[in-house]
Amino acid sequence: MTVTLEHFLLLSAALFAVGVFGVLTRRNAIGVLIGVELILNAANINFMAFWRYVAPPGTMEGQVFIVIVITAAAAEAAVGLALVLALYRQFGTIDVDEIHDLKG
Amino acid sequence: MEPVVFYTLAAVILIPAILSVTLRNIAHAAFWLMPTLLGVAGIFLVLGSEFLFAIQILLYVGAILVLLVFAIVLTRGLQDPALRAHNKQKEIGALVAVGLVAVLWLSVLARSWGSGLAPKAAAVDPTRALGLALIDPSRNLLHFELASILLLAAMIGAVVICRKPAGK
Amino acid sequence: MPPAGFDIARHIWLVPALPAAAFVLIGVFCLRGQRGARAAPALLICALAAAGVLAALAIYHLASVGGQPLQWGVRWLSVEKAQPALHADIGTLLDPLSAVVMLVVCAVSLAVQVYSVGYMRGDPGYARYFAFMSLFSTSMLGLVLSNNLVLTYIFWELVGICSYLLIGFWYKKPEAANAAKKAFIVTRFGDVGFLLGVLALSLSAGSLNLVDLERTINGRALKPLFLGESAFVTVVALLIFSGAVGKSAQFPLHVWLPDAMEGPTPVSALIHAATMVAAGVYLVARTSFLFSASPVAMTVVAIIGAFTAFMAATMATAQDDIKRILAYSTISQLGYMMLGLGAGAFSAAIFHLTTHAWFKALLFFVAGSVIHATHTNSIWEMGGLWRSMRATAIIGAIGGLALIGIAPLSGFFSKDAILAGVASSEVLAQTLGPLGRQVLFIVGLAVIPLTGFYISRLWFVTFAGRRDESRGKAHESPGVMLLPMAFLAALAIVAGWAQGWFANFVQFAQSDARHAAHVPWLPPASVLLGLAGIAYARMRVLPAAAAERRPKSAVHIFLKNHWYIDYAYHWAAWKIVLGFAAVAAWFDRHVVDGMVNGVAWLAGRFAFTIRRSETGQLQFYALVIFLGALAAALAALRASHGMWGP
Repeated sequence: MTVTLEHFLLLSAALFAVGVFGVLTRRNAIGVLIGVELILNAANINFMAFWRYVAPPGTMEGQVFIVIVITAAAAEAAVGLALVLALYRQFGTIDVDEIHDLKG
Repeated sequence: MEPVVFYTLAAVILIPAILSVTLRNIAHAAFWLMPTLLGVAGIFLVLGSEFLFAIQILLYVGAILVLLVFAIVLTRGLQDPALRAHNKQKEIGALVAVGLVAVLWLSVLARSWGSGLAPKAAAVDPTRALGLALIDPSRNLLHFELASILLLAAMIGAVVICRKPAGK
Repeated sequence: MPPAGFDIARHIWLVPALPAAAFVLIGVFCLRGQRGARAAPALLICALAAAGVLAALAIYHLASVGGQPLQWGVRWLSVEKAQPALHADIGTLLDPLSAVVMLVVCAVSLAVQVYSVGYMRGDPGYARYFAFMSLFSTSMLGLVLSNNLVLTYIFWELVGICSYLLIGFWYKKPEAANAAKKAFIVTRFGDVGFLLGVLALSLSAGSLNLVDLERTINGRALKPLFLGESAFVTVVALLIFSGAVGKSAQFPLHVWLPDAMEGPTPVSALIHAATMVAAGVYLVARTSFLFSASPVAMTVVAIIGAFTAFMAATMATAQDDIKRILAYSTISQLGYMMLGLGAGAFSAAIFHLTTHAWFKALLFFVAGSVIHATHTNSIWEMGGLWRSMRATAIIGAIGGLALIGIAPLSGFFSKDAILAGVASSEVLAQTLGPLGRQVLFIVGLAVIPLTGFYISRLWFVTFAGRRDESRGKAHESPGVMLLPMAFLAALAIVAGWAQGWFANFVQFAQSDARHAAHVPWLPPASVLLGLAGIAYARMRVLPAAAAERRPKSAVHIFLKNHWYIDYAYHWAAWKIVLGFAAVAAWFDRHVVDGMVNGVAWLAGRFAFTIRRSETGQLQFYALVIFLGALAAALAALRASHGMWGP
């Protein structure tokens, strides 16, 4: 059995779901960011697979997008962790459950 | 490529991923992120882009993961080990995740993607082609420049957010 | 003689219009400053004098052409589409009835205005007083002359307003303000019935013109709205009578008149003795065709009249306020008029209306004189005024004797005419039987000695005996007040001799004037009864001081508190008011407030429920987003495949 496009798509879907679970349920703010990284990686797998299996030869947009996504992931990680540090400074904890100033 | 390659990579990606969102110890969770990232790099390699394979390792494992570890170190002090890892939404979150997987798998499997064939022939020199694409104004130069501006903004923003408040 | 071609009927509307012009002029020019104020009575007196001349001319004209009703008017509104078609006009109806009453109103009003110049001197509301008086004169004359019931009702309400304004003339006095309110509210009860009667008539007869109505009802062409024809006519007649009950202060709506004495005495003389209260009597006479068609209604009128006459006479015997004695006397005499109307002696009743106007106004003038002189209303604080106020005393005696019905004064003739009419009334014999008719007759007779007693008591206590000098000197009234008193006294003496002419001139188609039987023993009997009352008063009442000190019997107290009717009304009104208030309060507290509070509570509950989604926790919001995305994806999947599997 050859490895087809579907295999990669299913793999990225599974990774995406794991990342979503992490985003929705982790109490530690850094744990949430880890989930976000997983989601971004799942997207990258998708892009790569489509570039390889579907894009006409010579089309590089798929890879360009992967580069951009990785760049964005880096930027987001930087800012996100800066926020975590600021949260930690403000509330004394990075437990997301404890931060509900917008409640009500 | 052989299916065994794929399935190995899939296991390397998914199983550590599940661990990293499940473990209570945040340092362990960050650690288990590494194999996932490496696995994704392997996917890039297997699908024909050595450049991206290298970039993935350099940036994700080498930079982002390190950043995560730094953050863990800087905030670790007050992390109470007795605290639970997951919040009250655990069950619903799992349900949503499972639901998402189900929907996505169903939509993938519900149609034929016109493949089952071997992947197309790889581009002549994907790295070179990528570089040319990024430089060419009529192609992706704009995206490239915007990405660099994004990085600049993020850098400044991170510094500003993290600064100690004035007068303290 | 009027110039040839001067058609009095076409111009008779000037009679109410002249005082109206006076009203406008006084309102514009006289309400500011002293000079203007002095001109006010002059304007009104000129207007009334001119009106009186016109009225006299009208009578002369009618007497010469033979008493047919003369109309003149303009169509004001018509509703053609109504079934039957509805019309209302503004017009005048000149016939013997309206002509004589109009003349009486003009004459008494004129006398009252002249009297008021003296009585109201120095009052800060001098000009306002004459403005209201002119408005009243207009309204009363308009009421008398109107040719259709809509216009009559309008003027009816206008005189009510003027009564309110004049009773409460000294509005800063709480008793006056309350009395004015009471008058208006009590007569309101009657007015509602009146209006309902007018409406019923308009719906069933199509026209409210008096001449048309008379033709319709006499021709039995009335379309009844409910019940049978005779029952309907009875109901309508009683409804219209209820207006008269209110305005003419008959039982049970008589309670406002004694309180109305809070107004200035000339007001009492004009409105509450001679004219406005006579409006009810006039109304019944004006719609006599309606009453004649219903023996039941006429009997009701007669019974109420007789009862009121007796009741008020008893109340008058125990009052201490001079004006209240006269007020109850007025109620009693109006009862006599109603009795006459109910018995079918329409002409006699109207004749009594005119003579009563002379001597009752006169008596009020006398009362005003002594009040002015002694600064008190209580007869016990007077006494011995015979010496210092001889003219007033003599005139008062004349008025009193006329009231009692001592020959040859006018009251004697008019009262006997009514009683004779009652004794021979076919209507009453038909409904009550000869015995019932006899009972009413005896009640009417019984009132005479009571009248004799109470008015003599008034005169003796006020004028006879010795004056207590410590109360200050009492001076005779000025000439401007004595002149109208003398004028009325003269009329009170001579008017009786016009009775024959009157009965011929003012005829009613259905009245029993033709066969007013001679009750030969009636004239001497009535005089003797009156004298008996006088004698009893002379015996029991003097000396005045002793009379006041005598212990009061239970009967006396019952009469003095006017049979406690006022207390009963007050109690009932409060019960009703408080009952409604309780219901309204409950409603307000539980339903209205309940709804408002309920809305607020609902909003609160709703908000609290919705609020639970605002947890402030980002992951909850993210969850919701993903759930939504999931649902959308499922829907899309379903739409594109229609099934769940590959």
